[in-house]
Amino acid sequence: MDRSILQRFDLTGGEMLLNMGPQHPSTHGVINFVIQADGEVMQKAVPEVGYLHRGMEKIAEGMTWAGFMPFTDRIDYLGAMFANQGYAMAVERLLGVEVPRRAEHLRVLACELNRIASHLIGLGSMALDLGASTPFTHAIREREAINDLTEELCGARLTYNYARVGGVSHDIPSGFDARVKRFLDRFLPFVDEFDRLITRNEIFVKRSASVAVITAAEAIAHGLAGPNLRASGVDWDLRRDEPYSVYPEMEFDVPLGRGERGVVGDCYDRFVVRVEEMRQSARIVRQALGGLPAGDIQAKVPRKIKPAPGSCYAAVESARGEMGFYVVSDGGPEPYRVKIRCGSFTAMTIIEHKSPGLMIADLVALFASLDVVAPEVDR
Amino acid sequence: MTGTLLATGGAPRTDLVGTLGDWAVRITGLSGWKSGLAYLGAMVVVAALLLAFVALFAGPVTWVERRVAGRMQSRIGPNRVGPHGFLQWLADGLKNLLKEDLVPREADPVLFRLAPYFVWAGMFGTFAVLPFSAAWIAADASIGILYVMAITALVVVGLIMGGWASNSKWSLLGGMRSAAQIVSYEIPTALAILCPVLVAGSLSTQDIIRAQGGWPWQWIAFHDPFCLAALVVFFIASLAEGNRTPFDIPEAESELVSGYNTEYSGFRFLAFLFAEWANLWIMGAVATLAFLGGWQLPGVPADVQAASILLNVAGMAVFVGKTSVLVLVIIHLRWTLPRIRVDQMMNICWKYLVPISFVCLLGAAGWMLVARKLPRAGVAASVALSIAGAALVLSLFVRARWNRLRMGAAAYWKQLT
Amino acid sequence: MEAADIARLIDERLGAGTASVYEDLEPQVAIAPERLVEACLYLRDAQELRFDYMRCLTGLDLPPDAMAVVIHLVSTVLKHRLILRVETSRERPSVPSVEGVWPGAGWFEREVFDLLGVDFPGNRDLRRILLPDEWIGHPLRKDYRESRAFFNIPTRRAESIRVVHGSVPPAEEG
Repeated sequence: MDRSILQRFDLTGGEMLLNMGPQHPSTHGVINFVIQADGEVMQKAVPEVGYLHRGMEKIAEGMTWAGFMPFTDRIDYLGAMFANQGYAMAVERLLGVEVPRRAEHLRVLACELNRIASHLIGLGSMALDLGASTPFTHAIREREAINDLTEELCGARLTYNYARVGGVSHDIPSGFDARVKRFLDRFLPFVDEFDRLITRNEIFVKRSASVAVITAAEAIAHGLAGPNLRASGVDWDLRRDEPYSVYPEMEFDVPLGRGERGVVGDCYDRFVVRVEEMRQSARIVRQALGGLPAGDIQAKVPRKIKPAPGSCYAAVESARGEMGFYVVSDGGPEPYRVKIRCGSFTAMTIIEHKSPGLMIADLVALFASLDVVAPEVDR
Repeated sequence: MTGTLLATGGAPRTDLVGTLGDWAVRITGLSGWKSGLAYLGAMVVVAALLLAFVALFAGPVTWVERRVAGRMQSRIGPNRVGPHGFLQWLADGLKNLLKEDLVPREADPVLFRLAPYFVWAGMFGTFAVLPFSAAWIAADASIGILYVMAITALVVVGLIMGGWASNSKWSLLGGMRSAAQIVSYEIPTALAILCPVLVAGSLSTQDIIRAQGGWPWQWIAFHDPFCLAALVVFFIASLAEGNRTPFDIPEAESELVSGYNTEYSGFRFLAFLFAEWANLWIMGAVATLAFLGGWQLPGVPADVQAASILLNVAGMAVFVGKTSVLVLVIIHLRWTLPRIRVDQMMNICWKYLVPISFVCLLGAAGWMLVARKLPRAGVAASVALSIAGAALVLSLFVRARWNRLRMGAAAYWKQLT
Repeated sequence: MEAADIARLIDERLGAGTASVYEDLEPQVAIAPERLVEACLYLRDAQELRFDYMRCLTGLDLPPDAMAVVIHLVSTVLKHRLILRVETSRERPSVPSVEGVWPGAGWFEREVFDLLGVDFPGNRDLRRILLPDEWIGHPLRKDYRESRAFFNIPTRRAESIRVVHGSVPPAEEG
């Protein structure tokens, strides 16, 4: 813990100053919270990040444009496909390369499968943090099927390195779409069972409904993104509002928080929105697979990528919100600057704002509902 | 009759300490104050027997819990150490015993070491009045149930000690939460248990069982709807007493690592855990003896049961069976439900359980007055209630089966391979 | 709305010469640091602009004599986007904080301060965020050199690979 964080607190009152983390079963990754609490009720919780800073943006300035792709996996290891796609899109826009339609469909397919896998972990972790350990194991069991599918597709279960500048790295193997359909057929009944187990469990609702309500104005002002933003009622989804890839051809709904058991923007809404998004992602996967066009999976891209000087911002709708890549080129073979914008980073800023008056158990619920992944925050 | 060492007045009681002590006095011929030594020896022997039972329960119940948890979570559970992992608890216990004896430097040296023993004594003391069969009870005190309530309060002292003496803010928080929880839930527990006491007319555990019978409609649980409600209240409150999910905030792993026992390791940690697992038995046993007929066999009067060894064994099997069913329900609850927050838990206790248990007490008393005038109506009501109870339990099984079929579980699991 | 139109609107509102267009793949609106906060307030509140969502704030090191802070804005209401660019000197980089306009900017500015050394007067909590407090230097600068040791842990090793058996094949060309 850095001493400088103490200047954020008023230490004259004699309240307890606690450290929750950096190693803690319920901070998803290595994040520290310094909490000033009067017994159970907090006055302030200040998050402290930086334990996982690996200097990715500096590393990018020393790698080639194409060589940076495996690093993007490690930004958010649970949503690696999104990072791959985002970076590839940014470089492709700088180069002016058009990606073949088959590759776009494959990217969408992979991303939506990744979204389901990421949400399974996020939802399972939230249930686990609130005390129910069984939904987590069920979610992991389903995620295994997705891991097997992606292993068939690109050889990796977690850090995919699937997208390339100009396309994707591998085409689908034979029998793949049958296996994906088999997975989807049993996935929707599983989500119903998951709902019966935990989403409609009265104790779970009591722990998360009306807890840590984030209003739409607060969410927008603090830059929240993704399911967190939509749970507060803001109808903003990059796949629909800043369309990229072949999402304009896909039919899907964007679930919003409705405050059905509490207030719009509470932790329960953030949970329910993610459950609904899983169902919608299953829909998109079916469409991406069904309408897979023939063609190349990789466009013609020069061997040594050297985009013309300029900059470009490309953002994808990742499982955790907006994952944006601002890349600046000076005409050389290496990026001049790569800035990675992640959904979890802005989710952290709102925690300090929401913490006064919250109980420590509610902090756990809030943090779990925001689905923060620490490596994304620190890069 | 000296077989009633701890009993004062009331019907003659026999308990193991008494019979063993009498026998010891007879063969050694001690008299006067020295005969007390024989009874002391008897107490030690019976306590050792109880310790063996408690240890042989607390260990294997962890195995049952872990296998049940694995089954519910689509995984296997321990299956390496011993057949189907049955000796896992032995391995874990040995491992804990062999660990370094760590006392944090800033911890209070005396209280830190004492705390586990308070918790353990508070748990083990209740076994003195828990019956296993008609003639097999360590000490049939005339204040049996009251004694159980009182001695479990010792656990609170131990928890606060452990939390505070660990010199860690998180342990302190856990200790305080735990103490608040246990102290609050003593009230609904005690009030709910007063209903069987009312119906049986005595505080002694054996008397309460003797006031019931073997058939379900003779159980106190189905005596009247207020007693059934009291069973539910008692069950929920004793879950909170034992720090079991959904009331396991004191040990909330995701918040406090392990609450009051975070800083403990080795044998002391084992003592805390031992007390927690053995508490499962106490929860089930008290509910069984008070509400579910205890060791009563259907159709066999209690005195006949007390006299015959074979019937004693059968009665013990019945008692153990009923308690085990309750313990299994508690285990299944742990792996299904999330955790309740501290203030919500207090709300449940003071705003819901306490008033409900008061109503149950008054209702049971009123019912008894009415039933005295109309005995047949009382029996009919008991039979109706027991049929309703059985129907409820059956409907849960039917519903689970229907859910499985609706989800297409058979096809689902086939697809996974 | 195009960057050129937005620049013109800002000029109309705040005075000529406040905003200019910086040509790029996606044109950016350049604003001088001292007019930044008023411009951002106007961008956020004006009915025809409504840039309520600040999606990213980043810093660029432009040796030898400039640094830039680039702010990405989007309007969730009107569904258009804008990139703002603020240039400042490299010896004493300082850009007024927009945390008062979009609270989410606070941490982004901390990160730019941490990694590039840009000062943001007006930010309520300007201290290092990703690196430890005791770190020396700002790594994303182009002239950054790592210190030789951090708390007596050396940051360089004499030889990174030591061959224990056999020989290392010669590096391939191309």
